[in-house]
Amino acid sequence: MYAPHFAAALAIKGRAREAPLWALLIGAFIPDLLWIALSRIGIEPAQTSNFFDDWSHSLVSVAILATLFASAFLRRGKPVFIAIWLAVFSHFLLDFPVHPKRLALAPLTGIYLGWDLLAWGSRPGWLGAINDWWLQAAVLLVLLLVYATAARRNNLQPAVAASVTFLIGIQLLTLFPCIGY
Amino acid sequence: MTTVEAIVELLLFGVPALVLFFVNRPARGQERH
Repeated sequence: MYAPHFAAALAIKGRAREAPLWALLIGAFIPDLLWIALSRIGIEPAQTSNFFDDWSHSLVSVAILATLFASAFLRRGKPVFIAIWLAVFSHFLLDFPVHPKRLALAPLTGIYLGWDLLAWGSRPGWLGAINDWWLQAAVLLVLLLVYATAARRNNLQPAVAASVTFLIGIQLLTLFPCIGY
Repeated sequence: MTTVEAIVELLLFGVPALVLFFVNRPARGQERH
């Protein structure tokens, strides 16, 4: 998933105002940031034929990354720790249904947990967009609703409107094949 | 992954993250104390 990762960070921010948004945004993408680094040095090949991301995206890896990253904010209190931990861990949950390869339990275990919906996700669905796009759009809208509901209580309407419009725009941009994610 | 591909991937994360961060910054005088 792509845009839903940003929306997850916003949704968590809406419920945990003390958590810094920059940390939630980085946290929500930490597995991908690690994947970019490992892929660049050849440990996690990014090619479709031999795609491998068990070190950066397995359940155990993401839980460890979440704990390490959230621990850096432990001084700000338990609610902030939990919010940032959830932001990182949300990456595993959002990638679970459709991913280039099923998500692993842990590196080197050979045990895979994720749903194998890549073939379904790649098929054209309603109005010509692939099923994965519609799934991401649905998840994005749910997360944005959570964010907007909480942010409205906090009197942040202009920021909500701008963020929702921006993320829906990003989701629409991914309709173009040249925008890879 | 080539260096160019890695930079593109980083921009795909970094640019939207920066936009969302600045859009959601508390307005001057509304920071929590």
